[in-house]
Amino acid sequence: MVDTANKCPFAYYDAVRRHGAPVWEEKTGAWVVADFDAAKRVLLDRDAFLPIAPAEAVPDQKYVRIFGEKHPSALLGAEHAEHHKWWLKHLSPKLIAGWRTGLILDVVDEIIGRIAPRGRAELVDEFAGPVPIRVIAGVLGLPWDDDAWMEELRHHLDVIDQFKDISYVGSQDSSMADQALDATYAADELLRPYLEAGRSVESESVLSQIWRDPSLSHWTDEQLYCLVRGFFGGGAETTRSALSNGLYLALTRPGLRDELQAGGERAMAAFVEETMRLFGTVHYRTRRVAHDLELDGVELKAGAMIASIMAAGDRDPERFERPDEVDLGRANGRQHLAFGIGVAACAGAGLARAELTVGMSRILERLPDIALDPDAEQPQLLGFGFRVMRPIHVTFSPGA
Amino acid sequence: MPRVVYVQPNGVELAADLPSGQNLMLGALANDVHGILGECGGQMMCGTCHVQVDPAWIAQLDKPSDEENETLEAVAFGRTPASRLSCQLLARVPLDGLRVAVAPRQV
Repeated sequence: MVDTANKCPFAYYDAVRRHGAPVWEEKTGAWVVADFDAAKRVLLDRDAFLPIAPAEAVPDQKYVRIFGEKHPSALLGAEHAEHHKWWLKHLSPKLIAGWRTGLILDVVDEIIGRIAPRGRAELVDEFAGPVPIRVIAGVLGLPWDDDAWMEELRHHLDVIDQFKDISYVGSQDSSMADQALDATYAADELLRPYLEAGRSVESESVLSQIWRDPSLSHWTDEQLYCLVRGFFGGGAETTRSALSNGLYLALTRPGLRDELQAGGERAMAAFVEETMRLFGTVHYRTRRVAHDLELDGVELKAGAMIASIMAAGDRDPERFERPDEVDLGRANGRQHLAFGIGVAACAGAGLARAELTVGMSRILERLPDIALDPDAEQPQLLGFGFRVMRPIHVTFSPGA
Repeated sequence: MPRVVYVQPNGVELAADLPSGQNLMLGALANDVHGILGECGGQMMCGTCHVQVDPAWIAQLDKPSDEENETLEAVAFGRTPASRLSCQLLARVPLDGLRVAVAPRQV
């Protein structure tokens, strides 16, 4: 699996899936499963397959700060449930409905407005990147329209994400960990005035509520800062990649744009699910086998690491007919693994879906003749834990 | 293990033996019941595990909590007197054979 970094991994996924049972990979240091049922089971059964806490994923305990001591993957049982609920409360369907027609639309239109007059753009860095990080900033009441502030924050978060991307499997690079650790302190300094203002003044905002919520009363200041960084960790690069991948699909699959135009909101909602199924950002999650057990005829020993490749399961032909095709009429189109599944499913999935919907709809509406630039470097699926199609150079008729 | 019968949106019944104490949403995900999404993981926040309990079983279930009621009011397919969130129903031996119909639409 580790050999697929920065390469298209789907042929490898097909090969592992065809094997039909967990495969031990010495170089990855883990069992690997790639069919839908096994990938799902590893994620669902948290008694048999334990989440890997940040403390296990870093070369030294000082680096736990990069993820946060109270990262959701470090919590189990009732403590996890209570914390998961906290996230869901702050990312509720009602809040998201308001952001969809307010904050998200404002951010998307602002960013499109910057590229529209130029007639060409690179969509990953100039659109899909800026949108989610600014939406998260807006959700938190941070200055999402302050370019200099956002650029500095983005830089620190990128350094953190680069380390996270490689931290759960393969070799661990201490120099990257050091840079990521430094970046957490730098990001906290940027956030500090806003968090401290939230501490001083009671309001309904997240940055005020974190200091007052009884479920967080035992958290230290440092843990609360990590919690706020967690909004970006969960919702910035992840959605950037998904939005890029969806735009890539929209620009390259023949007939799809006509289908989206004719199908309206329902077609776009289905397309968002197909984007996540075919090119979801997070390709795998690792777990630790809790006790000796058998999975698809293979004996797994307690303590072994296992990687559930959700992105492979989501192309399992046993689960999805014509799995590599975009099909806006799939009956089970939303039942994929891209956001995880079960009690630890992504709490921000609704926000991501809203950003994908608004982002892709508005690009196609405002830049109707947008097309890949045939003379520029063509997109490739890059990354490892998070996979993004880039670069996406496009041309279009300049507009307002 | 108590058995739960899920009537899927296409009318096909799927009987699953669930570990006692497991909620019906997680049981549905583990057994590939079509139409149950359970996107909030069982926190009564999303309403995407909506089922309608067979009338013969309703009286044997605990009443929904205020929190469950609040989410049921906003489910996509529309609440009926038999509506429940499957994440709030636990498989138990006295409920062996419980029948629930998956709501035709969750979003």
